[in-house]
Amino acid sequence: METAPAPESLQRRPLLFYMRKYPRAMAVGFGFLLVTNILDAMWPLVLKEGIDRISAGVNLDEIGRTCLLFFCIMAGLSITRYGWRVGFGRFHTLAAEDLRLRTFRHLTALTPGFFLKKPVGELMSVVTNDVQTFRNALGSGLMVFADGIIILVIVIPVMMSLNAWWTLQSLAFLPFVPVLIWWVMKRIHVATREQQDAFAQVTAHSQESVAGIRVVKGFGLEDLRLKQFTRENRRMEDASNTSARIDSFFLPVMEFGVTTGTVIFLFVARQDLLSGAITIGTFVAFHRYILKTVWPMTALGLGLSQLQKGFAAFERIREIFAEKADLAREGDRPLRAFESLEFRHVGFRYKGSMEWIFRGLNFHVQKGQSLGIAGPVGAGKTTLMALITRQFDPTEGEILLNGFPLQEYRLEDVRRCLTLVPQDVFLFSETVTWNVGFGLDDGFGDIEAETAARHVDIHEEIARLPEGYQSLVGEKGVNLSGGQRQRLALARGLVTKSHVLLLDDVLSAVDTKTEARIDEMLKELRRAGRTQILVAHRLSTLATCDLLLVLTEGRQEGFGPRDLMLQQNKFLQTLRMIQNQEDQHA
Amino acid sequence: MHDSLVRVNTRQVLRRIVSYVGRHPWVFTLIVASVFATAAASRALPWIIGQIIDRAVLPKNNELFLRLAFLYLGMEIVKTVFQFIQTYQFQKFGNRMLFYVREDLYRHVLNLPLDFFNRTPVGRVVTRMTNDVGSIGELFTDGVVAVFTQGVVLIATVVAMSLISWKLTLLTLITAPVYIYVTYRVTVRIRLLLHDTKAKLSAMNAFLAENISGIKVIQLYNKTGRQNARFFQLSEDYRLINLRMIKSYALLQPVLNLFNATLITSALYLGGYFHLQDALPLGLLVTFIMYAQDFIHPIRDILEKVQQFQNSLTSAERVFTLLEEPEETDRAGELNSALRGEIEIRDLSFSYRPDLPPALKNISMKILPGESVALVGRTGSGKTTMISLLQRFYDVPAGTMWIDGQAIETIPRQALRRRLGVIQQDPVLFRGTLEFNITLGHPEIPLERVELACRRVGLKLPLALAIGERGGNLSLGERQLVAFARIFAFDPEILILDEATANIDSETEQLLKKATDEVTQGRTSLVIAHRLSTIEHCDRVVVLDQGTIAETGTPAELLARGGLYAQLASAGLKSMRIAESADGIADP
Repeated sequence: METAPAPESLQRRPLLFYMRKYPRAMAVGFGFLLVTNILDAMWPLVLKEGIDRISAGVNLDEIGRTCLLFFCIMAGLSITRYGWRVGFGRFHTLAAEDLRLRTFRHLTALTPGFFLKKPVGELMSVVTNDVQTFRNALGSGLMVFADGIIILVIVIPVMMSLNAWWTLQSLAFLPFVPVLIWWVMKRIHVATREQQDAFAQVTAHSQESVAGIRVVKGFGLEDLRLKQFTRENRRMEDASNTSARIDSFFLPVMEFGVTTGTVIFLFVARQDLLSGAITIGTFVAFHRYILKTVWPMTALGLGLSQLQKGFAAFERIREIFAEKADLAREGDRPLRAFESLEFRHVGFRYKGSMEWIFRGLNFHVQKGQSLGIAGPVGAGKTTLMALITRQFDPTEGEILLNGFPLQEYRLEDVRRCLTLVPQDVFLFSETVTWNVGFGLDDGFGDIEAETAARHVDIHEEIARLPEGYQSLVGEKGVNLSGGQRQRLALARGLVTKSHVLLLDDVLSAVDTKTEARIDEMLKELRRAGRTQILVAHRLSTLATCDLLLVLTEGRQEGFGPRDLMLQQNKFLQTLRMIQNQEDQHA
Repeated sequence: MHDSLVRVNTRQVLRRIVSYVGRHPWVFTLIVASVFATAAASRALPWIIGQIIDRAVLPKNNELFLRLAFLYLGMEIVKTVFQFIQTYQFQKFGNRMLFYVREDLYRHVLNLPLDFFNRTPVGRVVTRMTNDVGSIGELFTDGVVAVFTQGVVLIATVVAMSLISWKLTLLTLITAPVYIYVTYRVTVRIRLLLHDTKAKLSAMNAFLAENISGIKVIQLYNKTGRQNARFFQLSEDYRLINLRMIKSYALLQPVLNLFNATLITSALYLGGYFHLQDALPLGLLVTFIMYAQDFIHPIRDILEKVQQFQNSLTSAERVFTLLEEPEETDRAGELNSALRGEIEIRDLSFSYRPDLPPALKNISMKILPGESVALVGRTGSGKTTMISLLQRFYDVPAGTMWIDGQAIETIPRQALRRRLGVIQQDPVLFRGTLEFNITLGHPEIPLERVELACRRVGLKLPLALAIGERGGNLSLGERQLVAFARIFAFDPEILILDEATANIDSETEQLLKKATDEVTQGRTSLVIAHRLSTIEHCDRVVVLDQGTIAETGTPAELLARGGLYAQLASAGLKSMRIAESADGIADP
């Protein structure tokens, strides 16, 4: 696989790009397609020969020879048709895979800013549906289109050679067919979209009723909900009927050309037949040729429509290719150890937003120290953590790592040096061990996972799971509580052995006793020299830090050594008051 | 549905389908008739060609030629018209059937007991109601229709051939069984591969979805490269099976083409022989050859659609299995008068299933009208069970629970629930306006009452505000307030409040506290409480422990007693509430 994603030539001319990339599969497909159509155009002529011989009353041997030839041609078709399908199949399968991988690779290299504005479902749809639609265009779209043209190019001259005048008259209506098909396909497309819309509504309604069944039942809403549902249901039926009506036009439209063609043919061929100027064999063969034009006409319409859809889908893929990672640059300054982290007048707002998340942050942490960050919901604590791990770059000011701007290091090194355990826990649908060892390279087994699990006080709970450390977690796995998930995520961060550990409110769903034990463990780590930056809500946690930073309403309310801050900072004092009150209650 | 209590077999499925079809017998008859008419008209066309050759061309009869040509034109029109009727009416008919199925299913699902929802994931129920019903629809549009209409075409073709010469037909089709068998084997192989392909595809898609959702962690832990490699592997697996699949599909080509070659060649050769024996006129021979050419298409269609047919049957089986789930009994009915709100429980023991230990043991208590009682206890202590029993989501043993002196099992479920207002921990919101979410679509609730409700709970959002899916555009606090407003709008005599455990900001918390005070006034209230401040506002505390009442008394009394309540309170009630938020609703 190439590593350079999405070269210019792919983005400009995807069809041509893939034809060049997989010339063999393409050539095999086209070659067989051509031979197939030549053979296919030949057999009615042989049939004509046979019928004329029969009507002339020749002996059986001669008929037999014609039949043998006939059979050979037909049998040849069975080989060429196979080759054609396989060749084209290879072509579009390979191309689709290439495109899928490029899209995925490009996507995963994008920065959080991009994922903020695109919902997961939409991105999924691009990598799955749009790639598939493009594949259909490359596969059946292109193939069908080529097939249609080749057949026309071969069959019409053959017909002309049989009788030019008949050909012109009986195929008079043929050119309308692709236009009609194209038109019907467009309307089908619109109708289908409406039908999908209605279906989405029905689904959403059902989903709400089932998920909210306690409310539905609790308020006795069964009949009311049914009435509302019936409306959606009826709309769905109507939309489906519209779709069906248009759909039913497809076949008559498709056959329109030949239906009229065969009828016209009967009338124009009458004189020649009666006068004996042409044989019955020619008549039969010609009739067959007219029937043969059904498909190319349909194919042109179908192929065009599929190609069009494919290009529309590719457009959406191209939009993703056009997205660039929005981090300005990446340097290659070596980063071996952590010495210090400093914020200088740092301010941040999201791209395109006028609203500052925060401004004027000034603080620093030295190796081995611990920094506690406090502040009300929405003060920007999580964003601050994102800046330190360079998910975003600050809008103003500078973040210095070991005295140099963050941008001068390789992104990978920064994140290897500073490990963030984010607030929103995400576990993969893999085993416990796999998840805990996620940040490491291979060689992480159950034993190592157990050590980490004991650190975060979750070993016993894991051991109780049916398959212990090999139990699947994540969406498809066992149901873990919020606290258990948080502790696994914490373990995942701990085992990375990074120099700095950033913990974003990672114990909010953990019970008090466990929380105290984990706090103790974290203190232990600090003593061993691992720098920590943690966002916390509980005073008991904050009180263990060397330094405290308080953020309120987009600014720095205070920063300094713990004791000083606890005495002087207003927010911390309020926090103490509330939490004391609670403790007194207890 | 592996955990379903019932299961239907294919025969029952077919019976169900027949009963739906039976709702419009005449339309159905019309459709079937048009299928036959289309098949007959299509078969007539080659026959007319043959007749033209035999009766007009060879005897040089100009007038008959013209007449036959017009007949041909007429037949084309007839065919097209019936074909249109057939495809359109079949689909329309199917849409109607689906309407009925969806309607029946929806009504049925809403009337299922809560127990069903506790043992069945939401996603699965919704899939039954939407995708599976849609798949049944393909029975009418693609599956059965194709198999049936193409079957008719096939039979019509054989009949038409036999009418020309049964001997020739027999001789021509003598190899057909072999080819049909081989084609069948290939389609079976395709079906198996199709299954594998789908599995590989969904594995790839699942990986994809997970990686996009978890992109942050992947990037933070520098694992983009490794995850890419895994995706490449999955993509390669998918490609390989795809190529195998394409080859299998392509394999149909040699088989069908050889079949076709054999059919037409033998028709030509043997037909020629018959003709030389003077047993078959030339025109009929041409007709016969044309029929032979039409033979392959329906067979291929049928074999291809059998798969779809089976899929649809599986879906139908699932849907109808769901329809067989027993509904809640004695739901309908009204209460004679308003409730006072007195609850009495006498020696109540209850277990969800006979083989499970009791969730509640020997509970006796009396709650007076207007009294507010806090239910406190660890997860699994029976708080949620109590609430579920009060709402008649489960039935208590007879003679253990009374509302206003009336045995609860004699009160119609729906009427009872309307008099019991519930505020859930995580309130359910529907798509629609804010007003709709407060009235829940009840037309009798006047606007003034809704406005008043909003004022009393301090909800300051416009009533016309469009609420997104699951209330996504509101904060948890606001969603809670909406649930409180509902109580004012419906004005039930008894209130059940399951206090939220999640952390909310202090301002909203103040609002909620105020709303709680407002909403409990003048109502019998049962509060599953997690905050000490809430408990202190209640008249009485009932502490549950492992299904029994451990203590009861005023908050101050209990604190002084130093029992379980005091213990729980000293843990800040936090450990208790954490465990609960993790488990969600504590039904088994």
